[in-house]
Amino acid sequence: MNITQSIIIIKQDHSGAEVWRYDGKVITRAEDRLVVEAFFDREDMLFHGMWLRRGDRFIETYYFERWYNIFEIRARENDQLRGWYCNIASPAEFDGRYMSYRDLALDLLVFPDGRQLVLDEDEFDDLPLTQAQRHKAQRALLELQTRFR
Amino acid sequence: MAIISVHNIHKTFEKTCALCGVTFGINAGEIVALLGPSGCGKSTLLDIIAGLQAPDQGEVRWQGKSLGNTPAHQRNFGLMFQNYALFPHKNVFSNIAFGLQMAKATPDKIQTRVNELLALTGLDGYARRNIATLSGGEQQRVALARSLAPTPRLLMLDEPLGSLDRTLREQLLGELKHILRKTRQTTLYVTHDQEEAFALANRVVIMQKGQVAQIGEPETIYRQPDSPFVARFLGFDNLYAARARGGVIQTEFGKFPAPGQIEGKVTLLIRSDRFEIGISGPHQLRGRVTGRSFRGSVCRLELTIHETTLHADFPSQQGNIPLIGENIILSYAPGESLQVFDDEHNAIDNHHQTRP
Repeated sequence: MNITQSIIIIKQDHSGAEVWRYDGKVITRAEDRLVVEAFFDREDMLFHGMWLRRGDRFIETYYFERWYNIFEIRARENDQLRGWYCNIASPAEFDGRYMSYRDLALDLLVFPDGRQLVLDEDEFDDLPLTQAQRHKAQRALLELQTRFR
Repeated sequence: MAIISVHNIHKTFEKTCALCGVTFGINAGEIVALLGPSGCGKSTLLDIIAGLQAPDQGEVRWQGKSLGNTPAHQRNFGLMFQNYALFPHKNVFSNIAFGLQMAKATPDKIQTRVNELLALTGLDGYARRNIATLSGGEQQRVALARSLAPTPRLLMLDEPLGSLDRTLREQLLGELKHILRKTRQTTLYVTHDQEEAFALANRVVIMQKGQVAQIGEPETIYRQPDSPFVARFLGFDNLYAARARGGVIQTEFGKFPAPGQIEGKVTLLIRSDRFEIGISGPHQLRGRVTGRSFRGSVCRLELTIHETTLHADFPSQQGNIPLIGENIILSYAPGESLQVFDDEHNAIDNHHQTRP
């Protein structure tokens, strides 16, 4: 991986506590979004029927105004699409070096055949969010579900 | 020697050359403005310096050493964007503290530094304020404070005042200049607005279609634009296709004395702000006033000479500025008023110029 254009991506929980950080290479920067490329660096795992393997390519789109981000996941060996993993999250914040977002637990997993799976609804229900945050998150999920239909 | 420099930077997008060999440097503590129309490649260059894009060719160097293997987050360059300058879901304190928190600075250090910046930017007492309650000018000051918080060794501002109205822009420009000079912050300021660039920068780099058109101090560039492009970009619009022969420049509307040795096709620039009304020397233009517009400190006349239009600006407080329909004589001093560019669009040394 060419590290020269890499920034640090920081995932936080709903309260702003850091969950993890990793390097990503900037593919595109636009007014409303940042697209980065990162590689899966954990043990191989079967995630709700979708294999994620070390070295898989994640093309991650972060939005500065939308309440979600979208990871397109491609297989390391042949770049074949494994699917999309979408985080419901606060809009991303980027200062040119660091990009962070607060994850709001809700996820949408979309398989290459179009099948959709909403994950962690119970966890989302238990989060101490404001009415407005909860509303934004639910609207974001609906928007994503529509986009991938 | 320049502390930060770009060398022969090339970048192509889908066969279009966005940057075609850009080279310049910035000295420590200097403010350089990167000025050009939209699409000239300035934002791409800023991304390359920041480390957000890689050049196809060329290098960014810090104190002469290549940054080719230094990722964006390790360059210690600050960036202030026009559009997503602030994080609306954080208060003023958290916005300014962002870079320090992400770099895991201690809470004490963060508190001290944020307080310093609040004071520097005139935002004392604003720490807990919600971003949405701030005026446009206050928001810009928070954005500046945030980009300065990690003490960047280079600050890059991308059209930071682009979205603000004129009065506010001028006020903030003054504050910005004061803060950057006071902190001796090495700065690259990207803008398409020449007034902004000229008012703020120690030196200006004018870009055109991915190349550097001219580099220099604002006054020098203004006095001696290097090409018709720069002249036009600075608002000089008396530019005419002409032919030079035997010391004379022949235009469709008259002859002018040629500066030095020049033959063939040329472009003649006649400065609009150096005319005198009436006869005050041998070099004169005669025409009819076909337009007259009041522009605050200057009054602009449109003069028609043999179907060619020429603009002449006079201080508004000057008496007896001719009226529409009058036939007038304007005098000029060739060394002050005329500039000639050859067919390659290079400036030809002018009568009065003392360039080495």
